[in-house]
Amino acid sequence: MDFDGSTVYTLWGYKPITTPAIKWIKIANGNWSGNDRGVTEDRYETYIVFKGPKTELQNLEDVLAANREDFAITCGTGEEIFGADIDYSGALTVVVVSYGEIRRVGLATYSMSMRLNLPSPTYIGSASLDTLKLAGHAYEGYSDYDIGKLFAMDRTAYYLDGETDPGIFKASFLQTTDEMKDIRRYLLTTARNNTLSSFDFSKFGVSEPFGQRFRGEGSSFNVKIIDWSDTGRENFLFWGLDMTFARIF
Amino acid sequence: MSTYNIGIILDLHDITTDTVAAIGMTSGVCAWITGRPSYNSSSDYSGDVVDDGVYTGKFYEGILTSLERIGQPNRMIDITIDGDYGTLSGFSFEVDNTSAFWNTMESNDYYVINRPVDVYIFIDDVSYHVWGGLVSEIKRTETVYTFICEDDFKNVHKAIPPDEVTENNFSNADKKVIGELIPICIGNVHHALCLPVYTSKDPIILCTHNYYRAIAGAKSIDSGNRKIVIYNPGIDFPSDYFNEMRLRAVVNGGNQSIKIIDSAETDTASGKHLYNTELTLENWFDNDPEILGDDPLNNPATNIWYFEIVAFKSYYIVSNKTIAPFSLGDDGQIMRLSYWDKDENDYINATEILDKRSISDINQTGYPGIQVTSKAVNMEGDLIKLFSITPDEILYSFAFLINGDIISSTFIEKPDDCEKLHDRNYSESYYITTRSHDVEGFLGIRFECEIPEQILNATYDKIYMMVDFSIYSEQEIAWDLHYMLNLQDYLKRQASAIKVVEEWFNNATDGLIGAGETVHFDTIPKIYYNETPDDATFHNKKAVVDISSLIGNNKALLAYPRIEMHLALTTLADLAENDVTFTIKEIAFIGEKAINVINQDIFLKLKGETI
Repeated sequence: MDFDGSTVYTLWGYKPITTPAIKWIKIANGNWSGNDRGVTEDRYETYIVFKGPKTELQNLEDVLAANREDFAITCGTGEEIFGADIDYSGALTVVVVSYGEIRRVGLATYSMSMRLNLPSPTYIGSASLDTLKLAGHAYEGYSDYDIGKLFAMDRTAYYLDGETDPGIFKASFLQTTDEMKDIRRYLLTTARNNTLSSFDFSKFGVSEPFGQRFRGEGSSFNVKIIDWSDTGRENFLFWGLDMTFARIF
Repeated sequence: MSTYNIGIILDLHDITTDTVAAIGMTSGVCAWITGRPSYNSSSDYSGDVVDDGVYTGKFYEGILTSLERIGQPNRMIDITIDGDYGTLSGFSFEVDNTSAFWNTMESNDYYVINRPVDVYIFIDDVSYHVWGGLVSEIKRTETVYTFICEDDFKNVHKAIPPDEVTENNFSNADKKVIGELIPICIGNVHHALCLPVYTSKDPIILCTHNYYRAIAGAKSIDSGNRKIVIYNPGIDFPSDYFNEMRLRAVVNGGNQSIKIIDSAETDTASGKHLYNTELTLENWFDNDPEILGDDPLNNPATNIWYFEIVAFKSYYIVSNKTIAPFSLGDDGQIMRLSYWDKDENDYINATEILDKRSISDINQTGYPGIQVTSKAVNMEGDLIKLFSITPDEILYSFAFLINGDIISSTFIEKPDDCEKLHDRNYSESYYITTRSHDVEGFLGIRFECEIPEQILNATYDKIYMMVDFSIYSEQEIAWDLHYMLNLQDYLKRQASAIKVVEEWFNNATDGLIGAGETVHFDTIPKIYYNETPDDATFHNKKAVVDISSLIGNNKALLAYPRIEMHLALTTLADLAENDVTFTIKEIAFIGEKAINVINQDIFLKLKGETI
């Protein structure tokens, strides 16, 4: 990674921190409603860690000292530090949100962490969820049967049905960089706080995402994606992605 | 299993037509419900199960936030020590603001502060009202719009029960408490609030005021009308209020005529010769009468004349109906005098010159125009008349007489409970008609009764026997009406037999009754003013016969407690069947009492009391 136009710094690791400008609330009929301030208010940040010899980190510190506001960086191949759907072909103007102290982590190795913000991203990729792949066989799919129980002194049970019965599906996915480009674009443009009509969970092999007998079987439901997290690179090939689907009635 | 949801109704009150589904509002009423009660039935959940019938429209789902974020109100009342109001706790709830609920509210000027909120619990689609109050504050974030409500007990003390003291439910209540809430005590109350809402016996101050003596005079060389204008003081007189003014025209050297006109230029008493004679002007309060004097008839160049208001009095008829108190003005002044100033070409208020001139001024020459001299007379020592109530129970017996003989009662229509004739509110009348071939002569009725003990025991100045009656004739008859009063002992022996008074009254109230006419007799010696009668046939002026002399001369009245009264027509023609009908509406005894109003307050007494 080039911080000052010439020096290549050793990027030890990173994790994109992408925050859509949506605030969610669960409402009393079990549905979820989001307040979306719009894509221009989405926040693209990253947490990066440098490791290298002492002189390299000292140079990095000099760069930060000389550029107290924003400055340009150039990312190398595989360094999609703000997420896969950002265009890294040119220099990116970034702002340091915070940075940590220089630590000696080895005999001649020093480390420094930093949080960067990308105010003006340029996007790549085509919005699509077609390539979603479960990271394993496990997922969390359930419905909250909204029934209160009261027990009288004579042990009689009374049942109060609040009639909300929300359904939640949580799962982790592994995607390639190209797939992640399209998925992130979909989440950040198409999905947002909108209802995905008849979303088919069988595309990644789940047939009853909200329970086996939950008010109708099947794999297609109206849903909203109320939470997701780009967990960054798992390895050179795959990115990790956690997603939460809420059923919408 | 029961379904359980919470429904909230917010009535925007002054918004009555707008329906906005995005905020869950129908015709200005926002109705929201938790859960999805429409899931298994129709797409719209109808609130027609609300049990109080206030709202029967649609309840919108998906507006309220979660059930857990709706407050749980509680109700409290403390009855351990003293009376207390029941209070409800505050209450708050949230609605989804992610679709800019707030913007819809504000852009449409939907104001919610102080709007009523009602909370219902729906169990199996049956609603139960659990809270009611007003919106006191609102807050909002990106996601929620919070209504903070409070029970209006906190701001408005409700009536428990919501009854007020009114003139309807407490006709004699002190006016200070009209509109006050009727107190209610709950719990162990040691000192309870009481309001003065008496209904009987407590005295009511009638009035205090002064008499005025007013004089309008003219100097000797004047000609033209002389005038005093008496203005209604402008207060709202109650219907039972009456006043009376005695006038005298004084002319030096000859008779003088005077006429009274009211403000509508209508003669009320004209052509009265009042030289040193008093004219009583009654009940002038409805108008502003003008008292006009003609040109002096005899040598206006040398005569001096003037009007004098000899006395003025006002009084209030005490009936057996509760009467509201009244006042005659802040300072007790009841009328204003004016005189006509020909130089000013206008009426001049003469009130301010009261006491500044004397009668002797009139006799002086050289005064231009008309002089008005008035003197305020302090009422101390003077009297005001007050009538008493009618007695409660009088039992009468009736007889129909032809030339003094009692005839068959065939033609007597006697009401079942004719003893109620003493009650002016009694609607039935007592009819007596002639039969066929009755001959010329006396045609009369006689009624007898025992003098009520209330009359005998009261210290009245005068006692009157009042008869409210009329005579109807099918054909024109000449008549001469007579009255006769007798006192009798229990054996119906007339008191005259032992030299107690037996009198015939004949005040020459003779005349003609035209064919098909009814004559109401209210001109017998004294007139009793009563309140407006229900029956148009009868009048508020009722004939009254002074029986004071009978009672006053009867020192042994207990031995002669019966009174007999004859009403007789001397007819001058043969009468056919039903030709003449006596109709008697009311018979009562009335006491008159003089009271010094300066040295003591005047009180109206209620039914059943004596003075």
